[in-house]
Amino acid sequence: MKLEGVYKSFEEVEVLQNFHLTVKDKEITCILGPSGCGKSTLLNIMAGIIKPDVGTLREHKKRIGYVFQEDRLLPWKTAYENIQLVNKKASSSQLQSLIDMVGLTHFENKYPHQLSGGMRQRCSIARAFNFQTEILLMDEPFKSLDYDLRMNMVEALIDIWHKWNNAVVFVTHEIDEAILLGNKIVVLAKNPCRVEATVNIDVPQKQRSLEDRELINVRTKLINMLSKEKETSTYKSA
Amino acid sequence: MKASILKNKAKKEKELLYTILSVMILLLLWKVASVIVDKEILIPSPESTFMEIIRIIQSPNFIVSVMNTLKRALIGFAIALAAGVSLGMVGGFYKPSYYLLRPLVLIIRAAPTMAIILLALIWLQSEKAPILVGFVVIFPVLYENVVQGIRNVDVKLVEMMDIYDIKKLDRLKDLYIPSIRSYLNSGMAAAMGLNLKIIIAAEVLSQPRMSMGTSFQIERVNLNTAGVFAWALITIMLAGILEQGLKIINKN
Ligand SMILES: Nc1ncnc2c1ncn2[C@@H]1O[C@H](COP(=O)(O)OP(=O)(O)O)[C@@H](O)[C@H]1O
Ligand SMILES: [Mg+2]
Repeated sequence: MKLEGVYKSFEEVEVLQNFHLTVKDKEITCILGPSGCGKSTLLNIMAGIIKPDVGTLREHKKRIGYVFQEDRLLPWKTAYENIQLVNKKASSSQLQSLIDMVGLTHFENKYPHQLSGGMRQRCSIARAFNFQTEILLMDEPFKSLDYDLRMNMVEALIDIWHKWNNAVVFVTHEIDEAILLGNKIVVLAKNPCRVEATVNIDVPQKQRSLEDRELINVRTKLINMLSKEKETSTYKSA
Repeated sequence: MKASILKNKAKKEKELLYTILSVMILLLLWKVASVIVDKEILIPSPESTFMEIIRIIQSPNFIVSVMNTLKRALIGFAIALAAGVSLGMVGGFYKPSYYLLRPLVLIIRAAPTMAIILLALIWLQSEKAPILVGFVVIFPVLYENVVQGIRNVDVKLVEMMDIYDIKKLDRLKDLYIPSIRSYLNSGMAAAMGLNLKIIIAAEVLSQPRMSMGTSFQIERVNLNTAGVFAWALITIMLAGILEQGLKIINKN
């Protein structure tokens, strides 16, 4: 999927200005950027929920999975029914294994209001994992999870991605998630949203560990980039 | 958990206590007023009203009268609900039909109830006229609730269903109907009580054989004010029972 020369503004505020991005098939593309820079807007455009003012979307996929920034669960359905909703053909053992995969075992019959924020988020991830697509968009999917759970979810995502062999666009502001997952990491800057840098990592995801020399180097590079970005943006606003 | 249940129970008990207290005060004020006025025909005392309730309940026509009125109320409610839900869905989903229906709904809503009662009496038999009057009054309420339930459905959930390719019928079942229900639940309880009151008012004028409205009229003609008070209290109780019944049905 490709975004070419995309412009989008909300009430005079230009969020995207001549934006270009290529998402390769069968790769995980991680998008790192400060909050409010337009990451969710970008995913909404890719999902076809909002139309760009100018610009085109090429090689658009018709069937898209999307883990929204909010959980968007149906309040009147249990966790199990919410996951089942998107794929009525899934067997109960398939559904149960998805529930176990995101760590919601024993909570499948609870309603969203009976679950914590992190559990609801995982439920919405399981829902997306129950809907096989060529491209999966994820908007800060692991944000309200603690460290261990987050690492488990990273592994679960890699498993699903291997199984489906699809493209994943993963928005985050956690550097560790990006370097464990991304084939390509796109660093965004703000006002208007633009690509500041792109980093490719060739190590296969299954062999990655945060102690690797290569990954440590990438992390240092990313930290420098992000802090430099902060300086320039504070300089700009001053 | 345990503590919160206990706390809840204590709260409920407190609420009950205040309700009882408030009823006692109202009874006391009623008693004082009846003593000051000192004319049973203007303000009957609580005791004589209570005696009247006993007499009315024991009279042979009581059950039939209540049943006839109840039947009208339930039939009218069911027709208004069916019409409100089906037309409300049409109006909610298709903007043009909403605007086509709007003048009609506005006229129905703005027309004075007494005009409707008189017209219904001209058009229909005295047995059926009250049903039409109740329908005309509560239909706009139910219709509007359904339209709002559809209009105010959470856009984010609609987007979610677009993404996941949820079929039309499932959307209706899993998104629109629950949303309509949450709007309709409160509207339905109010409409039920209103319907009963309007139907009794229409019965007072249309005089069907044996009904609550007819009974009101009989007591008034006999200058038995305590009897009118007694029927009013019976109406309040019946409305309460209907609304509670509706709540129980809605919960399941
Ligand atoms: N529907 C909208 N109406 C008005 N402004 C919006 C809307 N959606 C996003 N914005 C604005 O666009 C900018 C980018 O938002 P968003 O894409 O949500 O950023 P991010 O996901 O990176 O935090 C923000 O300044 C936000 O206020
Ligand atoms: Mg966002």
